Order: sequence, then C-alpha cells, then structure tokens
Amino acid sequence: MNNNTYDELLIDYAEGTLPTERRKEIEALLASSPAFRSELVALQLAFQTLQNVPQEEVPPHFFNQILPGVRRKLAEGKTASFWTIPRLFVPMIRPITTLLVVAAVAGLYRSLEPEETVSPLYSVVRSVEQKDIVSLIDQSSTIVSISSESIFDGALDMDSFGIDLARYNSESDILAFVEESDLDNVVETMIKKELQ
Amino acid sequence: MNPSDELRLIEDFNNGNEQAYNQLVVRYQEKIYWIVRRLIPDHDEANDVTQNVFIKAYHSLKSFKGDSSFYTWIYRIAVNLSLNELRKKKIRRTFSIDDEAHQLRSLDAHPLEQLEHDERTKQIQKAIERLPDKQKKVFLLRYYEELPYEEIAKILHTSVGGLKANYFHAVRKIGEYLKHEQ
Repeated sequence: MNNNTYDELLIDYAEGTLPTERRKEIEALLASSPAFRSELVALQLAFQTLQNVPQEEVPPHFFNQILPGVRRKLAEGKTASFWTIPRLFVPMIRPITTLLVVAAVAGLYRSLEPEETVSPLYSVVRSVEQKDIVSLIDQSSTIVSISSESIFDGALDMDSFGIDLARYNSESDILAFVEESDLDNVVETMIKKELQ
Repeated sequence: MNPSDELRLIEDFNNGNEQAYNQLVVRYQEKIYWIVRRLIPDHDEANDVTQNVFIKAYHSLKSFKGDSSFYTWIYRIAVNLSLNELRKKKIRRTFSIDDEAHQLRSLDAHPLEQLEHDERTKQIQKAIERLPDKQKKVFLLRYYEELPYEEIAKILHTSVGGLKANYFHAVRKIGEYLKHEQ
C-alpha cells in the first residue's frame, strides 16, 4: 500500500465508513505502528476541533431577501452604462492615461520625422558583419579614416571608403562602379558577396 | 425537486418564463450562500457574491446542457466566484488599509461573546483559505455539504481515491492550523 492508500483508509476509518474487513486490517496496523496511530489521532483531533466551532448565524429572514436582491441587480444591469469602470481599475486610470498620451506624442513625432534617405550601397556595406569590417580596417589601405569605435557606435561614415554614395541607386550601378574602380580587393569581395 | 423538474424549469426559463428562474433561486439560495460563506467570512460580502452567482447563472443558463446536475453546475460557479473574490480582496488589501479600519470599528460595536465567535469563525476560514484550491473544494463539499465521494468525484472530475487523499490532507492541515492558533 502506498501513502495515498493509507490516507484514504484513515479518512474512511475516522468517518466510520470502512467495511468491517478493512477496519480490522486498519486496527491491526494501528496496534503495530505508532506513526500510523498518531496520524489517526491528529485526524480525529482535527475533526473534533472543527465540530466545536459554533454554527454561524445569518440575520432573520435573510434568505427571503436574496431573490429580490438578485432581481434588483439584474434590473440595474440592464440599465447600467457600458462605460461603467470596475472600482478595482479606478486607481489605474491616471497612469494608463499618462502612458497613452506619451505613446501618442512619441508616435506623432515619429510620423512627422523625415525618413532617412539611404543609398543602396550604404545599405549593402552596413549589412556586412561588423567583424568583417574590423578585419577590413586592419588590412585595407583604401580606408583612411574609419575606426572600429565608429562602427560599433553605428556611426559608420561611408565617405571613409572614398565612395560618393549619392551617385548609386541600383545594384547594377554599384557593380559597375566596383568593376571599374580601383577598390581594395577586400571591399570589392565584400560588396559582391552581399549583392549575391 | 428532482433532476427532471430542474431541467423542465431551466427549459421554461430559456423559453422566457422568469418565474422558473425564481424557483431555481429559491431552491438553491441557502445552499449556495453557505458554500460562499465558508470561503468569504463577511456576511454582506458573502451575500453579494451569492447574488452574483445567481446573476451569472441567469446569463449562462442558455449554455447549460444538462451534462451534470444543476447543483453541480451552479456549485462550480459559486466556488469559482468566491475564489475570485478572495483573490481580488487580497489585491485590494495590498493597496488599502480600509479593511483594517473597518475591522477595528466592528470590534467596537460587538459584545465579547460575539467577538470570540467571530474570531473562531475567522480562524476556520483562514485555515480553509490557506488550502490549495483542490483541497479547499473537496473539504467544502465533504465536510459542510456532506456529499458522498462519488458525487464529489462527478463535480470535480476526479477519482474517489484522489478525493479521499485530498480530504485527509485538508482536514489535517486545518487541524494543525487551528491547534497552532489556539
């Protein structure tokens, strides 16, 4: 028998609902096991304590008032405003309103902010892994003023590559430029790889 | 009232007969109130929740399919609304000291015997409140409602063996809590 089975049998024994055969079995176990016996005593004491609690009372004629109360609430519910706010949420109105106003202002600011015009070539080079660019800085003689800090700060200046970005607006333009220019091999490989 | 009478009343109500609903309320109001009151010590709050149980039943009776008895169905509503109310009260207590102030005012207004009675009742309710939900439900149904385990098993969708183990632990825990508080 596992512990749950003992619990079930003890409850039945304490409630007096155990069949005779099982009762004898439990009584034998109680006689031989002090731990089992103390479990039963604790259970019986708990029942005894509960029984000593006085019966709660309700006001006279209380049960005659439930139905009218329910009917009144139902009638009120039919006329209640859709916008009635539960009392629990009332303290939250001010912070929620503040958050909504801040979010609206931020949204308005972003919608009015002019979009950044980005040349395709700039996008290509910006999408290159930062570690590749760091390696490029170490190897290339073309790049004259770029620093690893500017890359990690996200402030990569494409002029550092000696490329006039405003001139190129399509991949074919970029490729033509790469083929014609005397670019560092590393830059050329990187750009071609990104355009594939 | 037997189950077929209940089903007829529910059908009548769903066909627009409000009197049928009134009969169901009158039939079960006392049982439901005591289920709620075991979980919510304050009479006025328990009354409020009891009324809400019947209001929820009013709006949900159309979805009652008769898979279980009406009592089983409304019992579940009562326990769930009571437990929700207890949770809400815990949240409100976190934000407010009104409850304590109210309790102090109540102390001034009650004679000594009533105070002792209230204190004892509160201890039992605290002990029940500390039980896990499953043990709480089993304890209420078995100890206060004196339902057979087979009936409780139907209400809670669980095995009789598991219920007895839950009941055993619930009684032991309540006993230990009360012993410690005495």
